[in-house]
Amino acid sequence: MMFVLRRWIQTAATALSNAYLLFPFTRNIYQGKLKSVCVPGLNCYSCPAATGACPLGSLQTMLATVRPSAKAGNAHIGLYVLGILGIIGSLVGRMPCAWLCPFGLLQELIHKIPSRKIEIPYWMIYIKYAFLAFFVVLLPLLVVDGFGYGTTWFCKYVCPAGTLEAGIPMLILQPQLRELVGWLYASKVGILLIFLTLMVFIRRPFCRIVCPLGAIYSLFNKVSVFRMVHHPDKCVLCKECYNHCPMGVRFYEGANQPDCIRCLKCMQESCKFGAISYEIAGLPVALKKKTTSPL
Amino acid sequence: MRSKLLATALSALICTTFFLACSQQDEAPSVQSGKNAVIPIDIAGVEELVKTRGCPLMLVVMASWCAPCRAELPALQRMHEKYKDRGLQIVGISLDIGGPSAMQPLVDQMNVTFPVYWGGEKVGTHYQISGIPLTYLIRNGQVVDALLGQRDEAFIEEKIVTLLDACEKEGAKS
Amino acid sequence: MEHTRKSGFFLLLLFVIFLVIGINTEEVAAVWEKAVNICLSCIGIE
Repeated sequence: MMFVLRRWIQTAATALSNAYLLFPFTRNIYQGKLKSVCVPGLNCYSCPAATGACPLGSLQTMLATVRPSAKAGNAHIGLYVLGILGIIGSLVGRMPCAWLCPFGLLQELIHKIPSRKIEIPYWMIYIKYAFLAFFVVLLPLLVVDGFGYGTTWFCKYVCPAGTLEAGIPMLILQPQLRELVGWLYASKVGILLIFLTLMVFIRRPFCRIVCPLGAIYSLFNKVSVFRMVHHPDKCVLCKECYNHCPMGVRFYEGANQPDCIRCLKCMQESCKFGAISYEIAGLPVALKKKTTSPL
Repeated sequence: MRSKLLATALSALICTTFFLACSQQDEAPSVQSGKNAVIPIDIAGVEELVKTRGCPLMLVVMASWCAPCRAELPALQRMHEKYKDRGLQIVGISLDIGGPSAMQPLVDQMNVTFPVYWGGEKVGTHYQISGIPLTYLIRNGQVVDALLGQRDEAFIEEKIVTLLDACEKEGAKS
Repeated sequence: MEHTRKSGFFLLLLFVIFLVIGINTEEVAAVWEKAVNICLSCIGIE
């Protein structure tokens, strides 16, 4: 039940983040005022259907233009974007990854393709913090041209969501852009293909290894208002939670690990011993087995 | 403990950003718009420009924060210098929401001598411009070509020469 | 444990302040300005 509910919410969030369906006629992206609001998930704002702004893209452009905007008298350092991300993070931590992120949904769907499944070494989950630190913050901020402008390093050199949602569709919609395709585009399509392949074999590989947005949210997991709780006295270490976890989290080793996206699959579907629950603001939420809670 | 650490780290990040921004600010308040000042223009002004500027007119929509636009400026300046005597007119229009002051430092530092106007978001939304740099090639008030994205210099030059030839033929006839 | 329970709200307050400052310094318009233009270099086209 919970699983079906989550799928519906994921699908609805993906549809709402990409609700501008006039693009095949206008051959253009949506340009309304909604574009000033950051969506909670990873969703490229150059996607023809996108209705909101990508928080990571916005953060990078703000940091890349810090110096020129300071020169022009504006202290624009991305507080608006950080504010949105921080509010979400301090309330629910990494929950948007499981419930709202379109790229997360895609990864879960592709992982359903039957195949031998592979587990990544645990240390790889720390790579995403390097992507956050370098490609989203430091490089856009510090590598600047003669006029003080930086570049959106993550969007430009890495982001497979951007290639999928904007790079490929825009080339279809605006044929003249095809003349401009070069090695950069090819390398980005390559990165996308690598991740699409990895998604078949590995659970949410992009979220776990690369995603800087997930990395930001994950910093809040231990302190957010909504938190998971592990009851070691009830846990029999059967590892069923790990087997079903879309992120490959070993919940039995501790609640609120950086990669826990609060999808609640372990609590609802895996654990038969009541060793997993959640709390809101420190107040335990009583749950009976086989009931559906709105969250 | 962790939350304090997190808060401290974030505050440190913010402070560093502020510091970097400010340290840059002190360096050069050099908006000496002596020669080529970026002038505000409205939609009527753009329409007027398209109608009255002769043949050919190259209208380049740009913004200061757009990397390909900045990269393209030197090539545009070279084209301007090379073909202005044959009648080519290049006009830049900036979409920056920050006003003319956003584009001015670029114009100054790159020694751009063709006119650059500031259209702001009004012009951008009115013409539904969704990608920049956007280069309109205009002949007697008619848009003959619209190029999206930064093109290499040879490509632009070829377009310009073709248009110049057409305009000169037309001029010879009349 | 008591301490970490409050920290969520402390951070929430901090980021609400960030958001308010961001809105008041017109960062919303700065985000919009970039989001309504296709970021060509972002999609691998330069």
